Amino acid sequence: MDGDRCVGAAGFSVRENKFYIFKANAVLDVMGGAVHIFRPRSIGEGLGRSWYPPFNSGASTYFTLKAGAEMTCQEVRFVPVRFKDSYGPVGAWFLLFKAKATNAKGEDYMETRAAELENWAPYGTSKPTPTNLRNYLMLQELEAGNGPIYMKTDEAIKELMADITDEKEAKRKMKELESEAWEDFLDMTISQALNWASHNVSPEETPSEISACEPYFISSHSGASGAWVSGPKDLSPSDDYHWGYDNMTTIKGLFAAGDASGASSHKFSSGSFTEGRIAAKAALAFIVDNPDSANIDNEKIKELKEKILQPLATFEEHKDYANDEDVNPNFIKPKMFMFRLQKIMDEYAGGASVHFKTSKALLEKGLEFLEFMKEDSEKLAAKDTNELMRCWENIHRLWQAESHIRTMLFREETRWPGYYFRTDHPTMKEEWKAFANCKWDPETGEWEMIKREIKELT
Amino acid sequence: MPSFVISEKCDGCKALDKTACQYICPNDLMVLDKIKNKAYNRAVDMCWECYSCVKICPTQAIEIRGYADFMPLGAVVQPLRSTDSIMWSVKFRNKKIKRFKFPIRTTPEGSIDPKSGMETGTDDLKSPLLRTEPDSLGTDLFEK
Ligand code: SF4
Ligand code: SF4
Repeated sequence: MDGDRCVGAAGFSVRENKFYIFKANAVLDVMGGAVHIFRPRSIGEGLGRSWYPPFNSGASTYFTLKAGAEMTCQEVRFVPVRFKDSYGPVGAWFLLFKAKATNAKGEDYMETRAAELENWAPYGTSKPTPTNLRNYLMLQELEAGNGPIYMKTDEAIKELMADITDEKEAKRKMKELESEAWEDFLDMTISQALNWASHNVSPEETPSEISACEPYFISSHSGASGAWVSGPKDLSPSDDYHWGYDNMTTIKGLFAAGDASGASSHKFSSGSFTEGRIAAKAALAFIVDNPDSANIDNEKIKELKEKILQPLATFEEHKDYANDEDVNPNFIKPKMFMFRLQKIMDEYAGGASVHFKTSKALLEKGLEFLEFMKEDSEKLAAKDTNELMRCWENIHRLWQAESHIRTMLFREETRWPGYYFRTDHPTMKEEWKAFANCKWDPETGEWEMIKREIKELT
Repeated sequence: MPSFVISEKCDGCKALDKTACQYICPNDLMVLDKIKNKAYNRAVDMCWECYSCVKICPTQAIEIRGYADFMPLGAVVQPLRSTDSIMWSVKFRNKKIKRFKFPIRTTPEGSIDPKSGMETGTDDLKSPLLRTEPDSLGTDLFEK
């Protein structure tokens, strides 16, 4: 930072012993969403099989938060329902093959539980039913003991083949459907194809289980968390929606797009790509308007370098004390640090193992445990640059986790059942039809929670 | 164990200036054991089974063995890439085999014109129009 302006970033190489300082007249944050903040359903080898890539650990959020930018929708996590364990996509099955999801008795819970949707009007009564509410009805089925939940791939294919009487045509059609079904996975989630093959599943013969994954932070799909960025001049109703440059955060010269910018769900890949183009163009305009190159203080660089490389130094200093490089009272390795975070988030902040339920008491307890983690983060140790990367990934996760808990605490209602449920505030409240924003002050280290009005653009 | 390297087939990429699998892995997992001159996956529980390393290995030395905490043994899903298509062979636990071939691109590499013959609407950096717009929007709604 140069005063109130973001003037670059710092980092290191995992290939060679190099520390990098990037000087910039404008910075665009596009480092994806966040995975492995909550305990995943599979904790052996399958730990890595997250729905969203495990390579994304919350760097986007960390960089904007730590710069002091205002964040939005940090309470909105995304819980996708996918084919169980390998997390293969369900979209093609629902939309293209018109398959149904049912409970173990073959009942379509979207029909049998339709009345529940009225409690969540107007969202519950609109078509298509929002993702979180579909999740919610499914979770209710599971809690009622009606699992497993199945995607009826066999019935869907039967239905699609029903009108074909000609034998040759039937053969051709079957081959085409089979190829489409497998391509869906082989293109996107190869692991799901492997899962089918390892269980001897042919989708035209056997239905497959679906289930809710663990929560993720991603604003390009059906999540919303990210930085509070300036809207476009021509569409924004007022100054608090637009401040000079499209997609600029509340920090001068720091832009965000894709999963890094919040409150703009359903951008998916093409939308995020386009948002990146818009943000990059606005960043160029900013550079032209602010041609003076930024000041970077050498003392600050020294301080950053020391801080970023500290885990390597910590390991060097203490490694000989114990005869085990991972168990040593003087430090903590990034892997156990991650597991501790995941356990706290899962049990206190409404993870998969508690059916996404939480409350003020639980959240406050979780926050208390995160404070210990913050202190322990100073003792993270890395034996090489790969572990150094893991250390920083987990510090990024910790900040994403803290802003999530704080914002869930702030919003005293339940607005996204199926993503998370506040058992102490189990309904949706009119006064909370608003954005819940937050900001961390780099000077004081204090958090500020901000409620922002929603202004309809259409 | 997600991705694994078949020792016999891996030659440490000695003919290349970079170890292919090490450079393609988005999660910094594949490393070359300099003594054995063979690559390995250093943290199998962080592997996404994304198959990037499998697809790029010049000697087809990398395969994926499904996550053992939920997949029974015995299945193999293996790709073979050409310049315009990918061929998948899917071997089931019960030995059944299925093969699929899908196109991976419809135009030769390097042949795409970024402007696709469309005009740049404005040079004004402050305008919300992007390169090729409004031409590429396919609507006259935005015409100035
Ligand atoms: S890409 Fe293949 S041959 Fe090259 S080092 Fe990796 S496993 Fe060995
Ligand atoms: S499958 Fe993907 S994540 Fe796993 S080692 Fe290969 S490149 Fe890395």
